[in-house]
Amino acid sequence: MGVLDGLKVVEIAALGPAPACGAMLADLGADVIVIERPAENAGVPRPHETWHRGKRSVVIDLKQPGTADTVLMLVEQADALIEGMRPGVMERLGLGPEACFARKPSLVYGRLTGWGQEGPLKHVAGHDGNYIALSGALWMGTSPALRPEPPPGIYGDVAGGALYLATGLLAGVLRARKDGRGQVVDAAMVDGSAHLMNLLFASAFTRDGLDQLRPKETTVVPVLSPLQAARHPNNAARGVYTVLDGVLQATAAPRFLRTPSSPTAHVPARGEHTSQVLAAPNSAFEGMH
Amino acid sequence: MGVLEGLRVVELASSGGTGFCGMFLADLGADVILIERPSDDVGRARPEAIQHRGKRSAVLDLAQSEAIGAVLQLIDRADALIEGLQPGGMEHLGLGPEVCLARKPSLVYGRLTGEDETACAAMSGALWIASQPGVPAAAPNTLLGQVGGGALYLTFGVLAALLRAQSDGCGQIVDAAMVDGCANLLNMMLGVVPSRDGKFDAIRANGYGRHWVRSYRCADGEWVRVEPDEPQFYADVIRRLGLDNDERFIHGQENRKQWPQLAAELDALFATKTRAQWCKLLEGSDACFAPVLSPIEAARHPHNVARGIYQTVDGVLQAAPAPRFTATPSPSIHRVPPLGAHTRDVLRELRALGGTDAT
Repeated sequence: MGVLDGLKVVEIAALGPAPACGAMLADLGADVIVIERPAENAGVPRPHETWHRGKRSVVIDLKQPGTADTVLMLVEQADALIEGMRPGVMERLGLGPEACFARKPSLVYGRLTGWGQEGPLKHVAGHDGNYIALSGALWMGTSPALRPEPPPGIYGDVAGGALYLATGLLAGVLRARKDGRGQVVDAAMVDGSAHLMNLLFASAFTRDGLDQLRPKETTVVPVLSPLQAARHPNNAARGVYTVLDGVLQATAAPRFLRTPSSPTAHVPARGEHTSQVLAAPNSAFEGMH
Repeated sequence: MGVLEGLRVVELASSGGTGFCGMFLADLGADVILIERPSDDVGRARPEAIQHRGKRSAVLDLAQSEAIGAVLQLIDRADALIEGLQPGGMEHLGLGPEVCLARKPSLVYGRLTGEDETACAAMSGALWIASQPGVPAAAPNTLLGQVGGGALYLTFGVLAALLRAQSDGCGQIVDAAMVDGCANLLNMMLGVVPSRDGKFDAIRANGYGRHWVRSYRCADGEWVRVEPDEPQFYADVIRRLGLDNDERFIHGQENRKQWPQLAAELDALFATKTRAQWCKLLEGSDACFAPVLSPIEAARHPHNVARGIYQTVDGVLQAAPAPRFTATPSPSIHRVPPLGAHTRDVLRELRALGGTDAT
């Protein structure tokens, strides 16, 4: 339950930030069906994979002929799709934007990559730290006195990636509900991590000026680890963190006063909802909200 | 123009992340009316205030009841309001959520709270994660706090609530507290902790000590970032570095005891060439490599140029709107309105709709 009750999302499982985007939407009440590949841990509890919490997990081997059609049946009922493959992979699976729009013209088709759908590096492998290195955010977000080591996954994957796609998808759905037109949302971490520096660029725009704005050593406040933070009275009172199935994790954000989000949801086992969803893929989203 | 064309937002100006949220919405095509306080520099150009690009600026003296009346009339016509005043500030002005939602039940009332970003980041656990073990923490500079944990969550939340209001006609308060957002940023990595011996240190900056996920200093003092985590990419880097006859490096991902030694050897190796030389050798391959660029340098990198990520408008470097939409592309970067540039327009629109006394 939550503000996004009734929003239907199909997610093609990938590594990195795409699942985190799906989890943010699921946190707020969206019905997110994540399509995962077969693997040995099917059915095994995996409470630490917090990036899948609150979703329904369906195992489909997309390399098998005919499986794309099952996914397209789900897409037909969905408002949005999330994928985080390298450019061209979805097309090869028969699940590219054209195939999906043919079935669902109002679909908002979200693509989350490091380098973006276009540009000379679009086919090049990389990770969070590479994307923010190239955008300038690694330089900007680290102290000039130290080796530039970013907090892993924060500036690229989550802030510059998952949050930009989540916001872009909602903007796209708002629009599609008015004019019936879907579209592709190209969320690139190199774009997002550049955009999130705009508040700093408002204060300086030379290298020296920007250098002055890089983080500086501070001793002003106690710096709490996540475990300590979870126990801090203010955070405990707000319920900022929770421990679910033994895993420390932050609760949904932001908060909605009329339509509060449900308590933190469990992580489904891989394929936990396969039979439920595939029993009637044409009505997989019905009755779930 | 833009995906949010037709969306009307009222923003009460304050320092910090709220302005970024308003910019994000304006970037995507929303009509954002920024209510600013009177000051000496009304009308002066301020191209550096890019957090206000694309908005309409109306100067109103909120100490005057007529001005409050005008703001309420603007709210009557708006889909959303965003504010980041001190707690109680809006209520004190007579613009609190009860007043606004009573007049406009479908209003999405977005609040960004958390005045001190260092305190929020420190209290949330995010600053600890962002700090390297063994050295003092560095205070965040908006990326982690005001924007990362604040404005981005407010923007996301406002759109979620708008979608809901579109279907059931009911608005509500969106409470984007920076401390919540900062903690939420960590979720993905918190899930990784169990696979790293349950140690939170292992998800801190420089906390896991892997030689293949590390920034290396080059001969010219500049830095490069390598992250070939997958075995095939790791093997590719080792080969390109000419280390594919060294068993220690070939099996380097497996033997954790050797990581510090291998990192030290790579420190020395990377120090033998300039950043540009390393780029020539490794960029564009599957080495998961990138130079560590300042934003000024980033603006000139061919990939970023091809995408048009950075632009200089009125002499000010800034990043283009993100993400990108194929059917409703965002307009090119908007200019920054001078303070109060739209006061008359905005008040004229209100008068046309039934009158206001504010001048």
